[in-house]
Amino acid sequence: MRSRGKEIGTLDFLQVNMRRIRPFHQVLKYGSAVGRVRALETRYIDSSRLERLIDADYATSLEILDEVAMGDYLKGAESPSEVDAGLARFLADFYRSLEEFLPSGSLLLDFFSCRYDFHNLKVLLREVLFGRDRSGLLHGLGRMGPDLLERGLEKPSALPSPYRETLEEALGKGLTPQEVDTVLDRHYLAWRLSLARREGSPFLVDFARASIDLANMKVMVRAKAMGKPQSFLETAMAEGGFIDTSRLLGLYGEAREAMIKDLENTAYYRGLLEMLEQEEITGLAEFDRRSDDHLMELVRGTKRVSVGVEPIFAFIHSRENEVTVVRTVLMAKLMGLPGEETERTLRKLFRE
Amino acid sequence: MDTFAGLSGLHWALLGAAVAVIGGGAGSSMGITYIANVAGGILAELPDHFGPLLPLVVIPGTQGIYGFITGVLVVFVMKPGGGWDALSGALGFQIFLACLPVAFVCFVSGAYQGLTAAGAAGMVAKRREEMGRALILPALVETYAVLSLIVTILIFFTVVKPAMG
Repeated sequence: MRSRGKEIGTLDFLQVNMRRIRPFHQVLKYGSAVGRVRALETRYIDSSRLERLIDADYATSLEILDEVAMGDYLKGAESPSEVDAGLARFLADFYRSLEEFLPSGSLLLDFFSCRYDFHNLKVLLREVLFGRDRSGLLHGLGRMGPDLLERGLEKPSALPSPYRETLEEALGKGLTPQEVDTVLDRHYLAWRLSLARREGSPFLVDFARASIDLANMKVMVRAKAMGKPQSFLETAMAEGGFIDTSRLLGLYGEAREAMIKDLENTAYYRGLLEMLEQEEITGLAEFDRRSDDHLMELVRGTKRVSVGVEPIFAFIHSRENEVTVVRTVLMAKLMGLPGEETERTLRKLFRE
Repeated sequence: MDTFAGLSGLHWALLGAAVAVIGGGAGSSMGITYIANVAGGILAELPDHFGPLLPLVVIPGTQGIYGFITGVLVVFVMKPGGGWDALSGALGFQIFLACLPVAFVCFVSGAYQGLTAAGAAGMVAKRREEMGRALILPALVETYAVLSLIVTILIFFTVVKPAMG
């Protein structure tokens, strides 16, 4: 990753990144799917629609959402649980429709769906190990399904990789709830990186690596704020990001200012780490929001690609992001929060 | 037999024709495959967009035609009055060199025109009325294929043909 301060050489613009030149068959693999995505991209949430959504009252905002695909799923939703259920149904149908036209052998859906499998596994583990409730289970999303995962809790060897290894590690050591979460997050990030590598897309690999960096930095900032020992960080950090974990571990003993200073030359400083210089950490919600915005900037870069895996990736990522944004807006309305406050917590949209 | 670098004039001329036809044809095939794939996907969702998409699918096919024209010119027009045996190795090599602009430029521009057309097809999918503007973008790539054909023809008729006497 290019450092921020690096001077651009006179002939840099002539350099060809051979990694970005893809063979004919690889570009072609997603040709038809790109066409379908282009046709489906017409009903999306852009900034003007979002502005109307924020300004409207709850009932009117549901009417505005009728203009986009997810509106049908939110009809009559009056409570947070109904909104969540409607959005989950929308996402489940959305993934099902993608399955119909993505080429065979594509790992793109696995790349996105494994998030829900790991989420469900987390909910089930919390129930089994710590007696928490299972209301957070997401049905219809993910490749595995909660039932299969539940059976896997009794016999991890029945589950495919990486869920088997994840369960074996999480069940084996008598971990605390927080440690269980970090084990699952680490396996999730590593699995996504391995899927990206198998898919053979440099963009996907870069996205997965940037996600790992952002997650590692979040763990580091949180551990620092909570005064956790370095050994916690060693088990919680995922390998494979652009920033080596040994560098982050080496920085952990430093004061927060020195830590941020050292990371100043990374792509994550502007807009993300710089906020930590000014603000005392009270919660990591803002860090999460800015991390998502950083990833969205990466995804926005795919607008230049006409055929390949990137337009499909951007389509799925932007739809997921729209769901997050709509959920935030509707929940804020149900809780009676003012529009300005909601606006501050919203993620960047793919299209402005 | 008069040869140049071990090949007769006819051999060089045929090699030039073959390279031009293969380069143009391969470029067009790749370009059309790119855009046809994307157009197929769009048509699965929006079947009434066939009309506006068709020119975009067709446009990368022109490079193959330029390669074909070059091949035909070599075989029928550049044939010396005294038959192919009268073509010296050096003149045959000149014909081969004259074919290279079409061979290379049409190969590259055909493939890239397909990619550009695929991007333009996205515009048409979203706004059917953008078809006119969308066609301009891949048409710009066409410029260089046309220029290469002009240069090839110019070399044939201003350099090689007069040298044949």
